[in-house]
Amino acid sequence: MNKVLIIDDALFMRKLIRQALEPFGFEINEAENGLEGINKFNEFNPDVTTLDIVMPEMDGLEVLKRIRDQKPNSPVVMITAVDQRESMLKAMKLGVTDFIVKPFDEDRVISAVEKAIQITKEMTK
Amino acid sequence: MLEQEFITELQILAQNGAENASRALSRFLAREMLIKVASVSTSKIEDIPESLAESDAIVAGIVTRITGEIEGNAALIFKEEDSLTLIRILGGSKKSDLRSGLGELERSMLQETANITISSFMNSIGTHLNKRAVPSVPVFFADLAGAILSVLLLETAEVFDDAVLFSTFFECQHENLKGFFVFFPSPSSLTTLKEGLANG
Amino acid sequence: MAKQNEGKIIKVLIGQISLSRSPNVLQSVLGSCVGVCLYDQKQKLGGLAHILLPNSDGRNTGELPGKYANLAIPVFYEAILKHGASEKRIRAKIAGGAHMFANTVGLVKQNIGQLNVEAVTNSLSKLNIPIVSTETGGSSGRKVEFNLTTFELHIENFSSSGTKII
Repeated sequence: MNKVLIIDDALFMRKLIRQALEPFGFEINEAENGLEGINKFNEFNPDVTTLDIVMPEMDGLEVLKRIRDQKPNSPVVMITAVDQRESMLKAMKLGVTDFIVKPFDEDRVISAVEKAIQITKEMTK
Repeated sequence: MLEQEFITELQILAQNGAENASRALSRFLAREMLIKVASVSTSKIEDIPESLAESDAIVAGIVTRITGEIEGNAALIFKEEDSLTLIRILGGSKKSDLRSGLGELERSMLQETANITISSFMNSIGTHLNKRAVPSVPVFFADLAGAILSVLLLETAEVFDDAVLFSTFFECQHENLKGFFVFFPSPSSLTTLKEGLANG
Repeated sequence: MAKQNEGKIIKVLIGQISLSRSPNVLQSVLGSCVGVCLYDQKQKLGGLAHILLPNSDGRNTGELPGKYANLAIPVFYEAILKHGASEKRIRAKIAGGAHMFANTVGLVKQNIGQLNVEAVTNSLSKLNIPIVSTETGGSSGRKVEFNLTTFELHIENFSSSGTKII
């Protein structure tokens, strides 16, 4: 079973992403801030991480940087709002796998997560 | 405070911003949110709260600070009954009421709605002017409309007796859901808005 | 809140100062703003100032006499004297001055509510106006109604149920 870690400070966003993925048999874990996200990333060892870009205290970019330091190839899908082009560019430089732009529908979440897993499998073959 | 030509150009910005925001809001809610009025105006600060809502109405206000080259205060505001309709649409608790406080999920729903609306609006403005305007994480407050609005316009009031105000009123007729968005640019950002328009 | 027989409810907007007499009621909705009541009970005369900011720092009030506490209180005092109040009988009541949006990044630089209350208190004490009662602070808005028949200040605080009378 593929594992997904959802890092987002907004409970409602975590719920939406969980709802989208659960019917497809993913094992889900959640973190509500950056620091908790990094700890859970190490404990849970997810196949994909969805990461909110705007969070108080430690933001998504910092979390991505730390994830990349540990596992350069672990897929990370960033959740962003439309206005975050500057942050999106930074995330691309840090090697983000994909973006989901809010507002999104459930299909977009599934396809992004599945694609991220597939790309990583091919890369590590 | 501002000349008519500048106001006219700002009006176009306001309309574009409102359209962008209404599209994003409609997608998020899976329901058509129409723009009833999208405007920018210069109003006397004492008249602003009552021009937007009854001052003593209980509202959900999700407020945020805009930072970047364009700064200011923004909020998405729903009257109590509308905020509860919104929560119901998004699948939250039907027993919610503003005075006794919302659950974390319900607060998160309102904050996310505001995040999407305000980000879309500010993104449109920023793109048209080629200036950065980034909302911080929106925070939910339940309070009296007049109390919330008076604090949003404090920054402008420190400098002027009038405030420039972008406002958009949304409506979803099918759900009888109404709400409005307001953006008060900081006094220092008015110059930036002008520059952006001149170069645009 | 109780409707007055025959009396009008007069809204006092941001930065305004209103004087009136029984049986009217003066009303404001306050966040970090402070509502200051001055009154002379014997003359059945009173007023409400809806103060937005603590200090004018050299700026003038423009069209809003009640905008800044330091300028509003002396103007208010002169006005109520002109309408027949006696220096000795003037009393004050204060409400409002909440610390709104306390946890919102960057939106509120300081506790304006508290600064407003302090500025109002200072200005009143300079004029030797006794403060009879106060209901200030907290983090929520208030609807206040100053009854010019009873000189009671009715306060509905958003965060608590019912009406408090001071």
